[in-house]
Amino acid sequence: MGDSMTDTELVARVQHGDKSAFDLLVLKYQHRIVKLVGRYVREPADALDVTQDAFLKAYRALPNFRGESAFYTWLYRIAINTAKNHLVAAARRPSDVDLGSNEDGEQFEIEDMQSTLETPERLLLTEEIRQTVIDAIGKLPDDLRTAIMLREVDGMSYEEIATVMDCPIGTVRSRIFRAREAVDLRLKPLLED
Amino acid sequence: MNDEQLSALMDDQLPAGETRQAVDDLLAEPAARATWRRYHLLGDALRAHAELPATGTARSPSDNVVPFPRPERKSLPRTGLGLAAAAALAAVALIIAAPGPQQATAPQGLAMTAGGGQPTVTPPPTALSNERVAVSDLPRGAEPFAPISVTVSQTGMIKEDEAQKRMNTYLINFNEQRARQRTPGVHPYVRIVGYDTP
Repeated sequence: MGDSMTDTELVARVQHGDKSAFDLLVLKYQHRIVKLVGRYVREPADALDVTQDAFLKAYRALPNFRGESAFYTWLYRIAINTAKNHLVAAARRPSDVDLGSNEDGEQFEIEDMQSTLETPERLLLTEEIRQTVIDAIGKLPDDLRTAIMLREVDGMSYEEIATVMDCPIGTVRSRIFRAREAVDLRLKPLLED
Repeated sequence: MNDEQLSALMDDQLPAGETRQAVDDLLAEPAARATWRRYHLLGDALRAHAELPATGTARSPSDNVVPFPRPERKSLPRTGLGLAAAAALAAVALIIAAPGPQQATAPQGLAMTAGGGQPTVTPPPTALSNERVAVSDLPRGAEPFAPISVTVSQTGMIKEDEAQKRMNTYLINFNEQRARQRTPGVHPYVRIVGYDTP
């Protein structure tokens, strides 16, 4: 992921008051944060609550974010701290804490965040979605499949992929896009509400 | 903004000058936002799948390892071969020289013939035979101590060079086989004799 220019741009928009830019950051990182939180909070429903809480804290803290670290590093740190706090609170008070009625009374923000986050079913990546993606990837030509896997699974940059696949960076960009486009054709019908 | 630009934007691979404009476009176009969401979901699904344990039939990584071919056994040292060949030739000579009922069964390659008590020269067989001739198989009236004949060269001597060569080859093969099957004992030397041609 690295120090993303895209993230920096989106963060800047949020800091200038564009909440929809934060939605895009949530869409980008929500599954990774759920997975991260899931290492601390075993109960899936609790993990989703903690994830939502972490994004809310990040949103509130974002005006003070100075970009001294990458956004995702900062977000991960918030998520881990939120998960740990949840565990401490749960040990202290076994009864559920209602995140929707916190002391700040920011019910509006909570609801807003809920509309951005995927539904719990989607957030946990249903088997249907995953299988659709895997099937579509399996039907791709080798060069497209290799490019998208190196990018998404191995996290390589286009430059690294170009070296590995011995082709120009422009070709890598095109292959990754064509792979996404092909999979998206299968994915889109599943996500249309 | 087209979808290829969006794809590059989410990978942070757009040129610096284009990123700002692309983000503006992304925020302004609901369709682009929906695509952003699906493209990220695609990546999340791939990563989630990659973290699943393999579902192949292999029970352990070693199950997928193709075994190396068994290494060929080392041939005997030349000095050992020489000694073994000499011993084999000596044993052949003993067998040939020994008359009497102890030759009840002729080793492969030897032919029992009626006649004098000395080995006689007979044409070599055209092919090796695994059959053995026993005294009991002889026609009635035939002398039980019939002389034997062996396949030797026209000069009456086993062609030593050829025999040595074949003996060496045979011994190597035999010892490999014996070591593999843990078979004790000696090999039928007469095969070597049978190979000799006039």
